[in-house]
Amino acid sequence: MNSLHKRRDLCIATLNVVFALAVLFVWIPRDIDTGVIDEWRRTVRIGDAMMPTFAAIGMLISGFVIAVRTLWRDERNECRQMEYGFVIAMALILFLSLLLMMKTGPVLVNILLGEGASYSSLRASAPWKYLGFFVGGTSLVFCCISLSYRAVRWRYALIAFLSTLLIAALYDLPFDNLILPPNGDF
Amino acid sequence: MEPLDYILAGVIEAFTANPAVELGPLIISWPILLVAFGFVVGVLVGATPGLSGPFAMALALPILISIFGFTPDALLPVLGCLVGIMKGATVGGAVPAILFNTPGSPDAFMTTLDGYPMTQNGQGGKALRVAHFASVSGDTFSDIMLFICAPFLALSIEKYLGLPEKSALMILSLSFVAVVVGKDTFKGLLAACFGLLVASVATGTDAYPRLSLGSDVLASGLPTIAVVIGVLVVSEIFISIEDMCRSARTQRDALAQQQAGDSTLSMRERRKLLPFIGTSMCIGTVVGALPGIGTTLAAALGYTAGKKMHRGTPSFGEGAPEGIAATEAANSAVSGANLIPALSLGIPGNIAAVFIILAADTIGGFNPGPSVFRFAPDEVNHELVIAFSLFTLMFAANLLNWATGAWFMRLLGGLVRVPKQVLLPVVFLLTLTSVYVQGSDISDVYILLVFGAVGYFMRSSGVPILPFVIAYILAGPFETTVRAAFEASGSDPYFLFTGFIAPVFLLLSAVIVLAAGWLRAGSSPN
Repeated sequence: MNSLHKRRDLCIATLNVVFALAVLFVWIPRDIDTGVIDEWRRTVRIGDAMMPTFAAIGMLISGFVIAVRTLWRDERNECRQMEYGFVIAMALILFLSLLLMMKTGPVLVNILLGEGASYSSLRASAPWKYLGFFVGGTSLVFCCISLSYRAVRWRYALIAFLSTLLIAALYDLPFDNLILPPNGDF
Repeated sequence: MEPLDYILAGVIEAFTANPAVELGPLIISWPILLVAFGFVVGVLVGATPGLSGPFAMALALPILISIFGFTPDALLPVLGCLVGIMKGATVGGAVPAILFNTPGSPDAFMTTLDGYPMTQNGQGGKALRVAHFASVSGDTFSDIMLFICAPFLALSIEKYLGLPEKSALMILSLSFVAVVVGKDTFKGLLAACFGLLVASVATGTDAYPRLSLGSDVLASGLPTIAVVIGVLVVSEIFISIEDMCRSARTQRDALAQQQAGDSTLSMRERRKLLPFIGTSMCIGTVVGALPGIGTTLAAALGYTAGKKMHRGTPSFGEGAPEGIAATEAANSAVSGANLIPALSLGIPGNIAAVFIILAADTIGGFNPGPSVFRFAPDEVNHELVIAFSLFTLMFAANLLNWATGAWFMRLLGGLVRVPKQVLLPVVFLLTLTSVYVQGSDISDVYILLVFGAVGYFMRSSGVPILPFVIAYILAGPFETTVRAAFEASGSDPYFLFTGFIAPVFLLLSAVIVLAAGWLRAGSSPN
């Protein structure tokens, strides 16, 4: 058997069995007030715990069957190779882009207008309302293009900037009620 | 109101309600305008390698809801735009397959087999005309079947099935989807059960939002659109970027071929294609009516049937127009038929149907399911009027498709050259923005990314995502029906085993799950 496939199936199965057991014995009892069956004003009815319990039992059985089958049978299925480097790079790109998107506006307001100025009072006025979106959006698109090509070029930065500009214009110019990220959170 | 009155009211609602332009007696309504807009966008998106109709529907839904709001007037324009995109993308998908040998989706792969050789022979224009003719024929036929079958199916369900039977039918549908999508029965079941579990968060009837972990973000419920788009679209973007990153030259620049040869399609040639189109569109409609079975199987079956029927040269795979016709008619016929279970039972059969149901759920005023087709003579069933308006919009989209689809396909064939490496990051930012503007809350974006990561790990592990999405959408109606059935039975613990039909549905669910596992085991090499 393809050992990568076998390891991955075993990993899915184990994770699911553990998760399903945790849901069944920890999460559901602690985080749902009614049981699987609930009695309310002398009426027996289905409680809020019924569906998650049903779902968790389904996951438990499926995970168990996948584990047993993987250990006992020799299957040759196609298996997509996952690159851990990509996962880490993508996570970093997302983290940094969103951080830039959230923080650029308030930080620049603080630097340029002094401590007393607040971003929330300027979030609807240009150019402040575009700062976070431009910096965060451009960096997200630029990094993703560079990752796809495995190369860094000025051209990609220009494409990223222009596409972010276009998206900002698409939402901001025709619609007064739509707020670009991250301005709704301030 | 009588049935004919409902149909008439639906047509009038689609054409005149919510007018966008009034020029004397001529009224162009927002729904019709958005059908046209959605159609153009759909053809453009379908023709762009790396994008697909569900991508565009996923992006359009939050934007449309942000623009039109949650009022009853918003429903038809939003549905009209989604229908337009769905139909446009169906015909547009053939463009890159034929001209650039770049199938945007697995079902379009069959189109490349004959389409690209025709392009190489200088008959790219003719191949596009064949694809359009077959695609729009299959789509129209499938829509007619939808108009006829959905009301009858819904009325039969409403007449013969009670609450326990409806609950059992949902279990059967979920089992079916879980088993037929993907290559592994138990991974499909795992995905479906996970979908039910995620849908349980912060829902239920108790005052305390269940499984919310004491978090304010979770207590207000997971935003459905962010969850669905995360799993369907963001995960696909992650996978594609990873694939391109792995081999930086995966997506070679598409080269347009010279179209110097014959690009016309005469009536005689169209008549020759009709038997292939007829067979394939019947196959596509039957396949499409079954939830979870996508266009790929329909295209493969249509192509195989066409190959058996075909005599003469060029043979299939060497540039036969009949090969394109057989494939395109089959995969296009799936789109309308997929809405049969969605509209009559409230069970989405494919991703496009998921977005139609999602739009109806989010805006409100229309709950796809058997009750929609209740012909009430003494009162006005507004949902039925909306259903007939939706059919009218689909018909309008088909007319537009017949009239302009071929022209758009040829036009866009020359325009669409944007590399996937550039396109997908831009679409990613567009997705994040469209989800954000709907709720103006960054936590929606975090949820979108979390479920994008969930979808990425599911896809990478061979766990199909469609059962997750369908179970997530169906969970609410399923739980409500089961609760109502239990209470109506007087709290009988065996309420799902009463009568004849419900036990048969449950038995069928068990048989489907067990037989699929056994069949797969039998067909495995060892």
